[in-house]
Amino acid sequence: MPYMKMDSADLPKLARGLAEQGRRLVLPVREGDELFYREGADPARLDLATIPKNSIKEFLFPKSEKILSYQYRGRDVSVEDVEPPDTKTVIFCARPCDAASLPVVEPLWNWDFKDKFFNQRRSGTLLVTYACRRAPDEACFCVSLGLSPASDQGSDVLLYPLDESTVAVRFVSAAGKEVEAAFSPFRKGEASEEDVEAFRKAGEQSLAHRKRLDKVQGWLEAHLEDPLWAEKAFRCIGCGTCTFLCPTCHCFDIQDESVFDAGMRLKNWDACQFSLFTLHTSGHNPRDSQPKRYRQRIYHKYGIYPEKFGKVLCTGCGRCVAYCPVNLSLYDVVAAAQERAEKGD
Amino acid sequence: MSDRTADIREVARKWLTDGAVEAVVGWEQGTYRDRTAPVLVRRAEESERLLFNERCTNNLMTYLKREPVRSLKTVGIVAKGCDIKALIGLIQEAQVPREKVKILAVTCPGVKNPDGVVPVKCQACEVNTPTFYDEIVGDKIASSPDRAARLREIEKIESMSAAERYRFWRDQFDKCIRCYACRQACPLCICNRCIAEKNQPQWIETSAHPRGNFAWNLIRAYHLAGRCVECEACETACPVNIPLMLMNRHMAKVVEEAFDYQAGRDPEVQPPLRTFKLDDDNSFIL
Repeated sequence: MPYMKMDSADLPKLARGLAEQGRRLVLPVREGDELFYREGADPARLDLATIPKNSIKEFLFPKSEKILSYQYRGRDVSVEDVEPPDTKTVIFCARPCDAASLPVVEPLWNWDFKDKFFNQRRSGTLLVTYACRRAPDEACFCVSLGLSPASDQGSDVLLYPLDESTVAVRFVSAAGKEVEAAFSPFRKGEASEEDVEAFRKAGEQSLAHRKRLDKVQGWLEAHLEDPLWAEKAFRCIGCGTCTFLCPTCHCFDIQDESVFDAGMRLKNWDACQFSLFTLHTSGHNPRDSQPKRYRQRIYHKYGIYPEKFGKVLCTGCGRCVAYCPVNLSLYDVVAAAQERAEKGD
Repeated sequence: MSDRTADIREVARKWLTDGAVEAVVGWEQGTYRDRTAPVLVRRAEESERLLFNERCTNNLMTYLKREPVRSLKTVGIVAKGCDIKALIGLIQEAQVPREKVKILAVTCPGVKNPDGVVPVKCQACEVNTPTFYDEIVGDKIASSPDRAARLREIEKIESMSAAERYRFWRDQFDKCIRCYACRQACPLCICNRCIAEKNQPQWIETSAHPRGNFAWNLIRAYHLAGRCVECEACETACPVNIPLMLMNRHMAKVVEEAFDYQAGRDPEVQPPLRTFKLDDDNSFIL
């Protein structure tokens, strides 16, 4: 089936059109030397130079969100549920590793409890993804997780930038097909299956040096006490940069905040790298050192989560590699585990 | 011309072989772009991992406050002049005994941040050749500090109206995700349990909303007043690019004006906010 083509120069107009259909618009813009996905930015600022520093997570699972409110009246207390906002969103030119994070975390938000906040945002979000012609950053390793710079997982529409000035468009999901009319005014000819296939191959080729990380889960099972953890984790300073920039890390804390007799309950991002994360009321902390906390992040992503949900909790976006303040690369550590698994060590 | 990397390796090897230290903290080659990464060397033969170049940006003194270095009896630490300022702060505050740490100082012509930019601290550097150390490597470098560099950006903030300044900081703090990379990277954020982690009562809201973010960022700046040595580790680590050093430099300027004191210079001098003198100028409160 041939693909519709359009000029890259028309992408801001397309973004504006999708927003005008009643969606809040999220798109990557430049701030200093870096790109960030931002809500409500002028589409003319659309910048596709590289992968943004933040992930799209915050637009489905905000860093702090009110989930109920309460009010004391004398000895009575009334509790009021908060309904998730009924906002429609278009995330325009997300990267494939960000889009692919959604099918990875959906089972978590629908496991023993259906999280209405995530689910409502998810169902109201249209993902127009911008495939990578080449791995945009040295930290990228999506191919290690069976994805690619042109993966369609999680996307409603996928844009293939075939060259500097042209994108081929593929309507992936039913929600994507529904917005086809918004793309039609920009149609400029067609691209063939071969064009897109060549694009896909070139993208994968740019990451040929990355290992498949398919033996890590089994290796972890037998290496909880391996010296690797303390050795690698020396460097870790225990901040939340890796977890908070990660598109799939989803741990949260519940906080009650009140002013006099009225208050609200909030769901806030939390990180397994913080000592407070597992500190018990008794004073006991089962993860009482940074190596244990560092190890936990790898185990959750590559061992526990796949065991429970059948998917690795990582899309290889590389943000935890690129932005770790002490250059402690998750890829290096997991690739070391893979190598040892391959050697039977 | 001296080869700093070779000299660092040689001193580390000697210290580890002699048993002068149990381990040496230094920089090694990183694996992302041309970055370096902190490394703990325990055996003399591993000294070959150590290096020095313009990408040795991290202030390694932050490792003194955490395990496993904290429990060591003796440790060697490779340090630039700016890093040594932080150690001086830790010694002044009795956080690290002077005799525990052997300072392997390296003369430094200036480093580059991960984004390739020359930090303000290097433009204003007065310690290209460190003066407080156990051993020093590298050719001597005369400092020619651009003293105005520290003040240039904060003067812009000071010239704003109160409303403009509030808007500026509100926009900056809105970005904060409460990852605490600033605190974790900081060599002088030394509390075993940070006030942001105290929840009985909850002094500071942990939510990343405007009130919580103002409270967190301001209290951290206050806690570093007269202590911050302007190493820029917090700002470099911040994943959402908040210009934290504008606050820290402003506080340093206030302390300098009030007490004629600059942090990280002399381990024998007591920092002004840790001492009380009957003849202190109290005119600002009384």
